Order: sequence, then C-alpha cells, then structure tokens
Amino acid sequence: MSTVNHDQWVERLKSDGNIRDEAIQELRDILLRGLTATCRNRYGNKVSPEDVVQDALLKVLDKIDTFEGRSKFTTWAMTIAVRIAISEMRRKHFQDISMNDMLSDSMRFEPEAAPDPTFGQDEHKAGVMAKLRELIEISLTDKQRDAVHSLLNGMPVEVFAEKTGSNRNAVYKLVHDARVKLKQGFEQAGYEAEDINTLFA
Amino acid sequence: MTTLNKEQIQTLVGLIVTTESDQITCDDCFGQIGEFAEHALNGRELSDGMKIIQQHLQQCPCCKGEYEALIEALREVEFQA
Ligand SMILES: [Zn+2]
Repeated sequence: MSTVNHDQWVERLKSDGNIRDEAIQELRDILLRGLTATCRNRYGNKVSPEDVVQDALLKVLDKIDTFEGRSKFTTWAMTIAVRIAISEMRRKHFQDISMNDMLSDSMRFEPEAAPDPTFGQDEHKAGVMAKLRELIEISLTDKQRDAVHSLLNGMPVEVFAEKTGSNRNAVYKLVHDARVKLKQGFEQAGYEAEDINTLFA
Repeated sequence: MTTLNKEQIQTLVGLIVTTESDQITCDDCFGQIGEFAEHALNGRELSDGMKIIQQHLQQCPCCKGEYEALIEALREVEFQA
C-alpha cells in the first residue's frame, strides 16, 4: 500500500496535469490489484477487474468530496471498487434467472427433507417443521415469503431488489422483519432457538 | 407452490435462530465498512459504533459477502496500519 496519506491523495487527485495523472495511475494499480483478488473465484469469474477498475475510478473521482477521512483514502476507494465489482458479478450471475422461479404463494418441504419419525429426535423435529410451515403461511406477507424464498435460492437481496424494482435497504428490512416474526412465532409456541438449531444442525 | 429442500430448510432455520435486532440499513453499513475493515485488519477493539456494523454483518449475508471481498482486496494490496 502506498505511504501517501489521504490528504495528499485528495489533493493530488484534485490537482491538474501530471500530478493528477500520476495519482490516478497509482490508484488504478492499487484498485486493480485488489479487484483481481476479489473477482477471482467469485460468482464464476464472469467479471473482468480491468472493466471494473475504470468505473471505480470514475466513481471515486466523482465522490471525492464525500470522503471524510474515517479510513485511509485507498481503503475508502477500495470499498467503492469492490462494491461495483460484487454488484456486477451478482447481476451477471443472476441475469438469466426469472423472478417467476423465485416467487411463490406458498412454500412446502421436500418429502426427503421430512423427518423420519422412527428415529428418536424426529418426532420433535416434525413438530418444529410443522410449526415452521404454519408460521410461513400465517405470519408472513406474500412479499416477505417471496423475498425469503429468493434468499434461500441464493439470490442476494441486492439482486432481488433490482429485479422487483425495489431497493436494497427495503428488501433487507423486509427479510429481517420476516425473520423476527418467525423467531417470535417459535418463541411464543415455546420453542427455544438453541433446541431448534440443534435439531437441524 | 414451491418446495424447499433439506439444505434450504437448514438455512432458513439458521436464519431464524440467529436473528437479532439490527439498527442500521445496508447503506449505513456501506458508509462505515472501510473503517470497520481497518479495525478488523489491525485487530483493534471495536467501538460501540463499530459493533453496530458488526451486528449488521452478522444479520445481512449481502453486506457480509461484500465485506469479505473487501478484506480480500485490502489484504492483496498489503494493507498496513
Ligand atoms: Zn446489509
């Protein structure tokens, strides 16, 4: 990592001519190295770090006045670059998946996932599963069921938000509220979180 | 009607039992994630403000994935205090 401090980075990137060009080149190299590590082995390597670094540099320069110095400048720039990279990777990874496959009015469990009551613990487990099914049906809204279901299919809330014309904060809250409702439902029915977890571990 | 398989049920149960309160949004988290990452990489003790970020990361798989990618990138550029 460069020894240049963050004030110097901002100053250099906001100056003219060679000073600015050199700073951009230096920052580009740092971001590219980080992005190369990040893009490796994530979401099937479908995103080129070189493509991302260009967008990242533009965004960093555009947002430079919002840098508050809470972290090193290069760390701040890297958060922007990584966010762009991951978003792009997720978008590409899920681009061919239709929302129709993600949405459903109700959920059920695969027969093979159902517990075998001939084993000791499984009677208890069957009770938990029945409760879970009931809570999903009764206490979640349609939207919450869709969002939870998509999440269980591996779709990040960011992608779900984009595909449904919502935003990430809202979808995260939707899912989190659903989790709270399900947890409370179990607690009200007398199930302890730890017991449930042990059953499904 | 959709069907959940064994792994999905396990994941759902995991999500339910680990649910804790969360005071911030993904955008709030992003705004402080660089500072949080530096704390983690330097092994510094977390302030109350940083604990709120940690709590969100424990609740939000989306932000957690980005955070892990960020840590990998910062390590690659030989992050030093
Ligand atoms: Zn988040």
